[in-house]
This record gives sequence, structure tokens and C-alpha cells, in this order.
Amino acid sequence: MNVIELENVKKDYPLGATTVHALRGVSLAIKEGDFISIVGPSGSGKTTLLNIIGCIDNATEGSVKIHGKEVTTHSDRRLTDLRLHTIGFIFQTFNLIPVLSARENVEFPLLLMKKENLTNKEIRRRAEKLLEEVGLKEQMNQKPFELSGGQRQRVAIARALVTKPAIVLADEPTANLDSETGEMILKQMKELNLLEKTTFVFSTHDPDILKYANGVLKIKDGLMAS
Amino acid sequence: MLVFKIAWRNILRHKGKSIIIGSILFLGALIMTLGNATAIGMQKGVEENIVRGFTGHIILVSDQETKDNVLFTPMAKPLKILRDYDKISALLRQQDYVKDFIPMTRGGVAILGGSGMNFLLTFGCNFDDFQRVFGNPVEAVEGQLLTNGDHGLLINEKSRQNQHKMQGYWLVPAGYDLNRDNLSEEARSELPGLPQKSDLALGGFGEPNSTDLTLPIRAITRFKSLNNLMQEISIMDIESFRQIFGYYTAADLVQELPPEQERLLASGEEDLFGSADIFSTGSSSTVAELEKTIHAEARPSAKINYDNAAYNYVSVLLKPGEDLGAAVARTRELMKDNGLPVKVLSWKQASGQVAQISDILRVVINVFVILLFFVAVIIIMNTLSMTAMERTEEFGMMRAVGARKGFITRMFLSETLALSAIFGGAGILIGALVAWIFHPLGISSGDSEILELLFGGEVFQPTLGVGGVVGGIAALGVVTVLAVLYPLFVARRITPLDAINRH
Repeated sequence: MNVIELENVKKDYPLGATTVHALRGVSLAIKEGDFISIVGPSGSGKTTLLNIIGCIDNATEGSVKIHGKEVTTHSDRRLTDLRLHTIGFIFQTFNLIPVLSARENVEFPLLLMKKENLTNKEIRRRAEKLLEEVGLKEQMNQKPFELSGGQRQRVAIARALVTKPAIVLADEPTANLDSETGEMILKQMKELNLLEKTTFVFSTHDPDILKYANGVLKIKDGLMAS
Repeated sequence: MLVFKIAWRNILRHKGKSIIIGSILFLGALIMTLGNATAIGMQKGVEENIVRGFTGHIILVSDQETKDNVLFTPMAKPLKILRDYDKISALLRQQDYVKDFIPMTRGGVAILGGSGMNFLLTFGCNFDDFQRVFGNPVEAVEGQLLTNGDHGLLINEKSRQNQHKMQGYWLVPAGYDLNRDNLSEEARSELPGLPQKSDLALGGFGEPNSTDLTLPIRAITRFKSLNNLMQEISIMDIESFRQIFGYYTAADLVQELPPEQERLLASGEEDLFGSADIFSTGSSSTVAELEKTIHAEARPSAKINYDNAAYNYVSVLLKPGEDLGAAVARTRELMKDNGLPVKVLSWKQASGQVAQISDILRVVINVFVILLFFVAVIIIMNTLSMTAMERTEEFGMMRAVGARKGFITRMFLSETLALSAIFGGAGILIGALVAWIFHPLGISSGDSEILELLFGGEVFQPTLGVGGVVGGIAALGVVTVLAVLYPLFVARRITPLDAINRH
């Protein structure tokens, strides 16, 4: 079953007097449990594509479906709720709330999900379990500024997974990490993909990490290359 | 809970900005609280010293009066006679909101026999009642205050100095020696040949029926409060005032006529004028003798009821806590329902400029406080807007992981309200503490008339009741909400995409 479907998606940005065509008609379909890598050179449209899939940017034209439902017509509130319940994000650098500890950062989306009726104890237990899984048991009470770049990315992964989302989107998650840490993070993402059947879509321009992906989408000049 | 946790930690994290915003809120709240205490203190001072010490809360005058400013009219234009005082007083006695009242007269008298025209703003009353109703506002500097039945004039010590400057003589109470301690510098320089007077020949000003009357100076006086403001006010006994202005006096009403006059009044016109005998000499009922009898100096032996004769106005004091506006409205209705020809005025209406100057000064303070808050709102708004924009990545990331705009609103509001509560609250608390400390100590106006008017008395006591504190908290709340509106708008508009683009 396709969890993500894009049909002829275009995205234009005004830039002064001219218009930048970031996406020129992208169509794709991603199945549940896929571990997909989007590759392409800088400025090819990888981040724009992830933003549109993640409902944090609107397509200028075309159709975007999540779990078969068209989202381009959703209100801001519905899109926010969709991000909360269905999509997990791992950004390149800005990831965590600076005033909250690692554990509190992971708890944050769950605390926003009032309808789940989870007790504070259950929320804490789930956050601690995930932090343990990403190897941060000892650092869970530390603030982001006390953690290394790799540790922060792992906290972000834990936070992205804590709501058990159907899709996790990661924009160059290893770009600012050394190769060893980057590989470790990708391994963890892959383990969770296999364990939870979560769909992962991540952008990268590092050919060494493509071995983890079970599908690669190449993008160039706003068009799918293959 | 999550919102408050993040808000509180953000306050601590952005200490610099928190302290800037907090300091502005603290100063604003402090100045506002002190301003409030000043305004309330002034209000109370005016209430205590002008209203409860001289004017009363409500003034009743004749409905023939065209202007409201009846008490301190420039040139003391004569007031109309207030009719039916007996009925008015009977009604006032029945009202639960009325503490006390006193009928008075007011007019300008010309001092005769001097060089040039010189006037005194004079109030006539039963002085014992005046002192009782207004809580002994007048004290004697020299001589003896009037008591019931005394005739004479009470001259203010400042007015005496003015008389000396204009007329060249120094007023000394009748029967008293010159008190050298109270002489002005100018008067002292004229010793030992300083001219002295113990009575004044007075003529009613602007009243066609007025007559001249020479009155003894009974005392040189001063008002215990606001003496500078009320230095031109002289007080005389009610009967002397009536005589000067040609009003019907109480004595007229109880004049006991000799048997001869009674017989004449009882005679018919034919008996009086039907015979030439009436012009015969030796008759005991000649016109000359009749006139002599009528103008006799002898006072009636019967007890005088002062209330039966003429007054210009009635001062009404309300019971503590009574609302002035409501009391004026009730009194108007009362007079109207009983068909009495009365115009009901509040003390502010009746006092004209005296009350207006005090009001204007209070408005100036309030405008200053409002301007201060306006500036505070602008500075806080600017700082918070900058803070919101600097936190684009944080807000954008929160929105990306599922925080609604409402969450951002609550978090931003919580931060600002917490700062407002802590720093603004401290400002109000310290302001209230300063007011509480200075209340018993008082601040002297020195000899400044402006300060005396501003303070509502010679000593200013900043006063801040529960209402003042609650008002301060409300004003602080308004300022906070106004200051946070635009920054909140900025914060709510931040999208995850803004955060990505910024990065």
C-alpha cells in the first residue's frame, strides 16, 4: 500500500523579479515500510520535495496524498495534526527545544497528543525506552547544549519515532556528523524501520550511505531522474 | 504544565531580555502605583479639606441661578435667595445618605471709607453650626471666634495682610491689643505709628437693597487646611450679612411692636386717614415717633429662629461611602418631587475653578502615567517582537513536530505574563510599600499654593487602598496584553518553512 503519492507536483518560488522552479512535475509513490533515499546535487530540490511530503510546504501544482488522502487542500490546523500523528521529522541541524532535556524533548510530541490519554508515567517510560534504544540512557537528563552533534541527532530520531508515526522524514540527517556517527545513526534508523515497519524517506548526497536504502530516488533540476 | 515549564525555562535562558522587559514593567508599575497613590491622596485631601471642611458635597441654590459656579464666583456676584428653606431642611433631615447640612449666605462686600474700592468675599452663617458641621475648620489667630448671637466679622490673617498693603491700616480684633508677634514685615516696619482698626464699614456689593453697616472685627482667623487657597474668605454672622444685603432678617420676624404700633396696624384706613386729627401735635402716634420706634436699636426679647429668614445656599455633607453622583441625582429628584425651587449642584460644579484646577492637575498626573505606559508598551512590544523573530527556529521546529498555533500563543503569553506578574507585581508591591510608609509621615506643601492645591491640603498623604492596588494590577494586565499582541502575531505566523529557510 502506498503511504505517499505525489502526482505531477510543481513548486515555484518567487525570487525578486524571477521565479525559481524548484520542482517541475514530480510524481512518485512510496510504500509502507520502505527505506527510501532521495539523492541529488545541492539545489536539485531534495529538501523542497521532503517539505512537501512532510506537509510543511505547499505544492504550487499537483497532488499530494498521504495514506491515500489528498492533503493539498487541508487547513493549517489539519496539516499540523497530520504532522503530529503521522509524520516524524529529523532535520539537518535545528532539531531540539533548547530549554528541555533530551528526555523532555522526546516526550514533547506525546504531550501535544492529548487525545491519546497517555499518563505522564507512560509518556516518560516510552521516551526513556527510545532513548535507550538510540544509546542515550546516560544522557537523557542533559540539555541539548550538553550533547554532541551525533547525540542530538539521535535524540531527534527518538523524538521522531516516539509517536509511532507511519512516516519518518529526514533531511540529510548525517550531513553534520562524522562518518562513524553518521553510519551508526543510519543503522539505528534501519533497525527501527525493520522493527516497527516505519517508512523512512531521507535525503542525502553521500553515496556511501545509500547501501542502507531499499530504494533510491534521484532528483536533478526539480525532476525525477529515474 | 508543559507550556509553563518551557515558558519559565525560556525566561531564565534569555536572562538579558527578561531583565530588560522586566525592568520596564517594574518601573512602569512602580510609577503607576505611586501615581495612583498620589491621585488618590489628592482626591482624599480635597475631600477632607475642601469638601468636608468648607463646601460640603452637595450645594443647593435657588433654581433662579443661571450659573453653576456659585461659591467662588469672581467679584462675588450676588446669589439669589433660596426659598422654602424650612421645607428643604425638613426633607434633608429625612434622608439616610445625608450626614449634616448647613444654610449659608455668600456675597461680596465693599470696604468703605478707604482709598479705592476693596472687596471681601464674605460668607454668612450661624458660626457655631458652621464649626460643628465642618469639623472646626477655622481657628482664631487673635481674638475670639463668633458664638451664637454675636455680631461681627472674622478676617483671615492673609486677608489682613492684604488690607494693610492696600489700605495702610492693621486690623486688630475689637477689645484686643496689638499682637506684635503676628505683624507682617511691612507692618512691623511702621511701628510705633502703625495705624490700627478694629471695625470695618461694609456695603453689600451688587445688591440694590444693600445698606452700609459697621461691624467689629471679632477675630483674625485662619483655615486649618488650605488657608492659602481660602485666604480671601471672610465670615460674618448671618444676621449682619442679611442686614448688609437688605435681606429679610430673622429679627424682623420676631420684632415686638409697641402697643401703639399694634393699635395702628389694627386700625382701618378710614381711622388712620379719615380725620385731620392725625396731624395734630401731641399725638402719641405721629409718623416721626413711629419711625423712631421702628428704627430703635433695641433687639427683640423673643428667641430668634434664624432658619425663618433668608439664605443663599445650603451645604450638604454626605455620610462616608456615599456616591456623590447618586446622591446628587437623588437630591434633584427629591426637590423636584416636592416642587421646591432648588438647583442641586455637586461641590465641583459649585466650586468652579477651585475644583477644576485640582482636577486638571490630577489629569496631568494620569496623562503622564498613561504616556509612560504607552512608551513602556512600545519598548516591550519591540523587544518581544525581536525575541519572537530570533526564536524562529525554535517555534518553527515546534510547529513542524505538531505544535498548533494555540500552543505557541499560550507559551508566548505565559512567558510575558510571568514576567509581568513577577516584575510588575514587584513594582506594585514596592509602590504600595512606599505609599504606606509615606502616608503617616506626610509630605509638606511648604508655602506653595500650587502644591497645596495639588495635595488637597498643606500636608500630602499618599494613599493607596485595595481599589488602587486592584486598579494597578488591571492597568498592568492591559499594558502586558497590549504589548504582547503584535509579537504574538509575529510568533504565530512563524512556520516550519520559515525555520528551514532561516537556517
